[in-house]
Amino acid sequence: MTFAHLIMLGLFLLGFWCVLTETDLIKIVVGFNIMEASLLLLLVKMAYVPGGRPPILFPAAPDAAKIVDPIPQALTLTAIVIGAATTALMLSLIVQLHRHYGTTDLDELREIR
Amino acid sequence: MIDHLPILVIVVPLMYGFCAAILKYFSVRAARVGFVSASSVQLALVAALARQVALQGTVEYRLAAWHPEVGIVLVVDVLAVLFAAIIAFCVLLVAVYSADYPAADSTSYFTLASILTAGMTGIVLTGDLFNLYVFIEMTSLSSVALVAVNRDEKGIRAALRYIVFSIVAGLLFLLAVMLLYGASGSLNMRIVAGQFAGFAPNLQAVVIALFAVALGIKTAVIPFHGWLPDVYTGSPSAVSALLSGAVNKTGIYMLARLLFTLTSPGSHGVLQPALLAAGAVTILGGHTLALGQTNVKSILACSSIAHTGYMVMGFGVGTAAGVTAGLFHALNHMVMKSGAFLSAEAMSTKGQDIQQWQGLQKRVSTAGVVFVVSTLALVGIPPFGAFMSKWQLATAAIQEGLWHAALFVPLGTAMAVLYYGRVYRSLFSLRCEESTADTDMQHLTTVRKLVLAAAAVGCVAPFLLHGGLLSVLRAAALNLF
Amino acid sequence: MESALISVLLVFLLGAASAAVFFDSILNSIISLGVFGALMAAVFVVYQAPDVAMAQAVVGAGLITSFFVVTLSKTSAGAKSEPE
Repeated sequence: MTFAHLIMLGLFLLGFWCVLTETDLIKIVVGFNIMEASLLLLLVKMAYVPGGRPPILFPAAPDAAKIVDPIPQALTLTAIVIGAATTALMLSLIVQLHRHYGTTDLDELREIR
Repeated sequence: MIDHLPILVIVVPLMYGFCAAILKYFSVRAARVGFVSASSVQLALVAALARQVALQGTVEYRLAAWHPEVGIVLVVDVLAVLFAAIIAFCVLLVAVYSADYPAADSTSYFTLASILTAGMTGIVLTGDLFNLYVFIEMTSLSSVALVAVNRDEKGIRAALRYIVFSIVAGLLFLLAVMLLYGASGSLNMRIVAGQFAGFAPNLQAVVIALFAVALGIKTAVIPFHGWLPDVYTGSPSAVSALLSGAVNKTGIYMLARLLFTLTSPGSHGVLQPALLAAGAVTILGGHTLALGQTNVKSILACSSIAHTGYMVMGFGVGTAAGVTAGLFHALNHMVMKSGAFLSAEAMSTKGQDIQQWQGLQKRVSTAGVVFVVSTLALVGIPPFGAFMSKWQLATAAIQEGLWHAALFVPLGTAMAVLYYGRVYRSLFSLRCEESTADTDMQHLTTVRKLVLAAAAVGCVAPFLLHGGLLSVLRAAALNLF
Repeated sequence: MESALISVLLVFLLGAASAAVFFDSILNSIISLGVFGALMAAVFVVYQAPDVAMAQAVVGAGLITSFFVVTLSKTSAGAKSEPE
């Protein structure tokens, strides 16, 4: 457990706390984004080798042990895009909800029901 | 061509999804016909794939011919092809039924349903953990959008609830996949499963727990069922049929695939009692929730929770017989629940409340008959397939000496009789409400009648053909051991 | 050198995230989230993942922030036009 891992755990818990306690739906999406970002950081951290080079081939290929692992980075790219898609869908649902109810606040929505 | 079947099964619906988005600008009718034909082609491809698996055994397809350690592989064994067939059949049923889908402005339905099909098929065929995560997200995004496809208030509220649960499940799943990659350096399921026993015990426990919770949310096992009643009630009925018939089954598939390939069947430890307990609680809780509902679709939704419980309990028994029973029930549940949701839509022209269904039986005869048949099948009485799967489940549990688990099967049936009984009493009551009497009933097209009839036949067929089916299902279950 | 840089960036990251969570005004918290996304891109560069950093800068910091801003403008504009 390094300092970086502690920060990632902190980010995850912060996001989770935001999702659980906030009543505004847009803030809840912010919370989910922070939770997801903490996992992305963990993925990139997993690939990292201290003193390593980016996984880009060039004519004088360096020592293989000194290259960071490219697979988690490829996964992170995919995860970023998936996260963006999820955020977009959730925000569009919030806009639709606002069109019907005129609010994005969970407490007010419960009263309307 | 035949060599590329595994990827074609995923690509065909995906391509149609994008074609439909263009096609609908020229003719909505063409998009509808195209959806039905794409689903038929899909079922035919899955059938060809099944034949290939039957002849050659497990088929492994390397995407772009990469080596399995670095590239993505699709692994098609009997279990995978069985679930691909369940999905393709359910999608075709819904596609034909919704060929004249009433909501005119929701043409994105075809695109979303096609992408959903591709995602679900990908889930069951892939042999790569991260690829599995991508397909899970693809499935959950398209199904969330499908729930809100009519843009009505109930649908949007349900979709928001659904997406919150989906995101949490997806994040937990991603974390588990990352931990597995960190420990093994590979994403190939077979390689990871081979090394799994050598991992630190704490890591094993954390990964199994993360998978169990993520998939518990996906399949709505109690206590993670909070989203399901709202979502199945709030979405259009064709979508509810798709969600409970096919999407839920992909969760069941992943539960079986991941938990059983990671932990070797002999040494389940705490997992097996946990699955048994979750199954029992889910059966009891699902039926109890259904008892309290007055909306017919809510009743069907809550009974979906309970039926998931039977499948999970089958996996909890842990023997080949138990898993076979669980898979058999998944197959039956797909047909029964699709039939029930689709016929319920045809019946609920006045509304979905039990009171509003008074005396409806005389007016919507085909839909009424199919509704009664499919709900009787859900109860699990003899001439229907679900009776056989519940019977298999109970005997498998008793063989293992798990009498207390087997008791939940007849208990669940008794509770189901209670709440469906209330629906029947309203349905067959002679007293016709004034408002019901003078509404002109929605005219069911011949196509829809045929779909409903097919679903009704599908409820009975597994009972008659259980001998042959069980041998296939047993082969599928043995893939896990 | 690298580890010190990472530590500083990570602390800033936590600060930006806290700001995004604890600001009462939604506009402020969205701006903080944009800053958070940009800092993430910087962290990715230090972690030797330039390709991921590019994607994060475009998608994570740019696109997602614009989604949020569009959502905010649509939801607050509707609220104003509605008679209370």
